[in-house]
Amino acid sequence: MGRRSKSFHLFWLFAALMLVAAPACASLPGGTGDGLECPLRLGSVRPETGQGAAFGQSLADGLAMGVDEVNAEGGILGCEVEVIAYDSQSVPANAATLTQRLITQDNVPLVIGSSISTESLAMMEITENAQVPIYVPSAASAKITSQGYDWVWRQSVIDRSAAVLFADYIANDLGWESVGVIYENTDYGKIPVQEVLGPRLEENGSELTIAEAFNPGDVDLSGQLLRIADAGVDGLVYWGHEKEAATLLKQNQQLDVNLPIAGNTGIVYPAFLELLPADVQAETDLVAVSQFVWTTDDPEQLAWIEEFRERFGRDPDVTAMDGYDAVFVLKKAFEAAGSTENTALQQALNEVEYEGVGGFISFDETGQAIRSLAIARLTPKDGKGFEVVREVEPGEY
Amino acid sequence: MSTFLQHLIQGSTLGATYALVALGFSMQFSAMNLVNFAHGESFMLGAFVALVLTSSLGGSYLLAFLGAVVILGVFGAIIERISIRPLYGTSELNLFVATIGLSILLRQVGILLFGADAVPFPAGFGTSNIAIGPAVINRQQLGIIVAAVLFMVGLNLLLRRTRLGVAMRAVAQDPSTAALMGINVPLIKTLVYGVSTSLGAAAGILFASLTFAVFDMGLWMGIKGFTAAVVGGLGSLPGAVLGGLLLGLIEQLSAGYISSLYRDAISLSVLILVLLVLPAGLMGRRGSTWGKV
Repeated sequence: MGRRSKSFHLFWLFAALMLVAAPACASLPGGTGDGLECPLRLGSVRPETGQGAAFGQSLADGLAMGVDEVNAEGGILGCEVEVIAYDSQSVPANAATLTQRLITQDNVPLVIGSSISTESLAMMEITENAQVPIYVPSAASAKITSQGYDWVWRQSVIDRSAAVLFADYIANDLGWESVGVIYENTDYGKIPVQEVLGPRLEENGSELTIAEAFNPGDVDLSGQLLRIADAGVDGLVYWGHEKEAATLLKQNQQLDVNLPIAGNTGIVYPAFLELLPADVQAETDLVAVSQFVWTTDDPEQLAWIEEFRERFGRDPDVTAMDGYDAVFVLKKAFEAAGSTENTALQQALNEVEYEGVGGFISFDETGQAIRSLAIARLTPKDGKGFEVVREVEPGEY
Repeated sequence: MSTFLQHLIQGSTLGATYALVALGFSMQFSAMNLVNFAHGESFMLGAFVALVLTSSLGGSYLLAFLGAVVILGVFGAIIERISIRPLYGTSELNLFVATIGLSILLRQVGILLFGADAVPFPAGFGTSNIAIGPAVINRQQLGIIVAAVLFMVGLNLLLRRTRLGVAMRAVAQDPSTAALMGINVPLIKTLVYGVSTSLGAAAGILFASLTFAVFDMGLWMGIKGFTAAVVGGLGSLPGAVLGGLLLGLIEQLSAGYISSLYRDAISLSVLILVLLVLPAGLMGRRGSTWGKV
């Protein structure tokens, strides 16, 4: 056991790392089950463990609440609804395998997509081949509905629309002429910022002066922040998830940079505010774009929010709301189709219209839902959190 | 200039945490011939145990901090006894796989006990800023640097001034001779594992007070700490400290002055360069000894 074996040690260590990191792809043909035996089983794959577990939990809670209500009202097509749920562990390859299992072993007529975009993208390959509808309640990547797939529907708001609205709001309402941006270095952050936000800001006469990136899970954004501050911008746009946003806001205050910040849909989550100390909330100038804000005044939404709080002991987020509404959209589609047959279901989903708690839902020809949007401002003074300052009707963006 | 100074402060804070974790990797490697995939999880568990203790001890940060460090030390020793010691004498690969499994297990236990969401963590040393010339240092950052230095001094005293420390160093240098001299080698290995787990826990608590606690925080910290330990020279304790500080500063400066997009690529390239010139790491030596901390 000399030094030689230690260097082998390291070699195997890296070999093991590569194996763990290597993506796997599977694409096998499969068939759909027919007929109307009760209960009606729907498939769901979501991350209950791993990096995406928090979003997966929200989706699971929203779905569970919707399913219980639908069942209390007599189910779908006279059948009780049952969700066969598998944990993807936040690994897209697992999501693909589990989707295959749902289709071939469990014979589900429809699969509910994951709350992680990359997982839903992996699942779509399987469902498209098998011609089984996949309904994605909440996932942001534009790719889900931009690849011309015939068997996918996505209910949550598309990040591109949010980016267009946001660029207009920043340039025209906030009046920032020189804009800095910091984004998550993944498709989630990169694509809306580079392809939509930047060009749209310029159309509005503002300039994207400096763009900095960070990696998901980063816990220090001070290098980027100081660089942006040195560029002398009027404000900073953030595009990423809530954990890194909390770090950014804290460091913005700690380092006395104090830039006004405009954040994307990924930060309008109760979890985000919980991570922010009160003094940071009070001293930060923050607006954000979202589809749903849990501190709304809308009485119907408030009633739902209260119900969610009672059941799960926490505030709902947009993923939970999309999961809840999804069950009712599916009920309407199944009942319009009159069966679980895939082509009838495809037709029904293309035509479905539903007024959910989270607003009106209908789909364009790509399967992308046309949704409303809102811009919210963080107003900690009355202890309310986010307050909606502008609402946009479905189809406007 | 003020920005540069600020970068140095931020980089040193980050580097001090890397160094504490890297110390654990290096201790385990030299005393146990173990590269421990699960070491990053001590960072996560330390933070959560301290969080539980602050809520049950009525919010005393210092007590919770020390309590969690001790608890994790004992926990580490137990884990070593149960899951690592039985594998000695088998292939080194078995040890790898065992620590990979252990890491996944601990992370999932973290989710089960503490949930998947990031949890806010009290800023134990206060949140106000202290001006240093044109730059500012947060009390918490100062606390991290001071605490990291104290832990390193403490570790040095343990290794140099106590019989236990002498035994640990002897095992690291030559386990067979140490055994012949009457040292209980397996016990010493267990204790080394415990001490390194304590160091990881301390780093986790300090860092969580600056950010938040989340179940997967040990994953990236494990990678960074391991990188720092390798660059410093795996097995060398002064090297671990140097590697940690260097990694923190390079990361910060490359994000601040070159490109945030390629921050990790740049810092890792610099580190690969270091290894090309000095294959054993900055302070690594043949027949690695622990040297001074």
